[in-house]
Amino acid sequence: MNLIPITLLVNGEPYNLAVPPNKTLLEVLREDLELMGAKEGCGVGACGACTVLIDDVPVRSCLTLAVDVQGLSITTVEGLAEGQKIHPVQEAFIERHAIQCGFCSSGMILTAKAFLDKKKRPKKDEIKKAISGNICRCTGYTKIEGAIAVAAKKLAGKSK
Amino acid sequence: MKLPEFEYFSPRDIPSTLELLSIHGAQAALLAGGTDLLVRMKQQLAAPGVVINLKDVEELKGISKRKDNTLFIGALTTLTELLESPVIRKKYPGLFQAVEAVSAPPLQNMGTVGGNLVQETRCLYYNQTAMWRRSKPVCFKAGGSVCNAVKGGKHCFAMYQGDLAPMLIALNAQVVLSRKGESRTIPLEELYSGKGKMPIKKDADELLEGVILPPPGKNVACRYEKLRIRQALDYPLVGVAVCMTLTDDRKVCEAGRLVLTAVGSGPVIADDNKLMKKAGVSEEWIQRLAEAAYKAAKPVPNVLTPPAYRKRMARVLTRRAVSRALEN
Repeated sequence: MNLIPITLLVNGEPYNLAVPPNKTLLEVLREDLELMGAKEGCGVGACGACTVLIDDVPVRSCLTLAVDVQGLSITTVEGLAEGQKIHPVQEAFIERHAIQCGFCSSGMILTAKAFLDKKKRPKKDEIKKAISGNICRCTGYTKIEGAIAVAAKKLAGKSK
Repeated sequence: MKLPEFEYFSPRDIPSTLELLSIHGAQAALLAGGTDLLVRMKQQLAAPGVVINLKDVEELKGISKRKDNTLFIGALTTLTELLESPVIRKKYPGLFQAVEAVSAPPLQNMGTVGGNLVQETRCLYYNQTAMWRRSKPVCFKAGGSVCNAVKGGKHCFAMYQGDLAPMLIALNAQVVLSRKGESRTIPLEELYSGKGKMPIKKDADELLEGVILPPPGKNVACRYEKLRIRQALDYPLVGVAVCMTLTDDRKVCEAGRLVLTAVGSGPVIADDNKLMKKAGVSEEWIQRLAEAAYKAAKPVPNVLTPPAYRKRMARVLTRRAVSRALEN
């Protein structure tokens, strides 16, 4: 198969690559860029472990062709921290023990971050709906929902 | 899971897409959101030699009101774009409900209207990895000669599980299909063969350009009800869409359609303006509609919930859909 040259903007850094068209964004992130934050869970879009943000919108990187995101801005969990300071959503996940094995966490955190960028004072039901496409098999969802509510407060405090 | 190899094209407009389809049609797959096609390719259920990615075809995107007050929804419009459209939310609330019921927000960000309509039929014994499938005989849908879901079945019973088609059919929507040099507009229900193996009646060189919705009528009441185990991600186990045109006093249903999904190999029209034509609204009438849905629903054991339960739920959800549509 022919290699197709693309430029990906990942966490603000441009990367020039040549990829075959059947390579997914997830494979490029993990294998070529060695960014291991996004995970392959089911591989068929059902679990959300591979979630990344494309132009700030959460999508499944396992069902996205790398050639298809040429020139778009991609955010992985590695891109959330500012220098040594982790993102308020990450802080909240740690404080509320919303992580057990951690496999779903990067997807959960990115989904939550994109949601809180749009929704400053989320209701409980809205939080549940926002993460309804991400599956956690360890903690259950109560602690994760709680962490997102805490993160919303942190972010509100920050913007004051 | 790896995607198989394919030749890749990324056309920028409709004419060049149709040109590519006229050359590669038979072995080509059209890629939109990828949430149906790429999954089937990973599971080795589809192996197109050519993939034509539609994402750069801007003409296929967006919602526009046309001169005759109909609404055109481009096939590449994402489900999230529909949910964010004030026209859909305010003027077509039934469609809004059906879109909202699809999967979960991240997949709504990817999935498109066109892709949702032409999604493949599904079966518990077919939509599995290649390794899983090796434990069973090759079924009709995979090119074999048995049905692994229905014992002694003489054909494929794979089930159509789209959420949008039943509501769009209830709304009397049409679809525009184009090929090089010509274009046709047909009622959406004619896109479906009702056959499990080849469910979509679109020729290999045809492109689904979009959906035409009739103007939002006065006193039109619609509702979509969906049965599923989890309230997100799951495909419907039964879906019921109803649209009625009511009189001003809401005591008479002038016309309407009742359409089911996930109880056959295509969307099933349980009532097409027969029981719903000039009918006095009453509890007894709602019950008659529910019985019509019960009769029309023909589920088979190809999901984890038993068919008898799903058939009864077609009746329950119809009662619920009609009553709730009348309440609003």
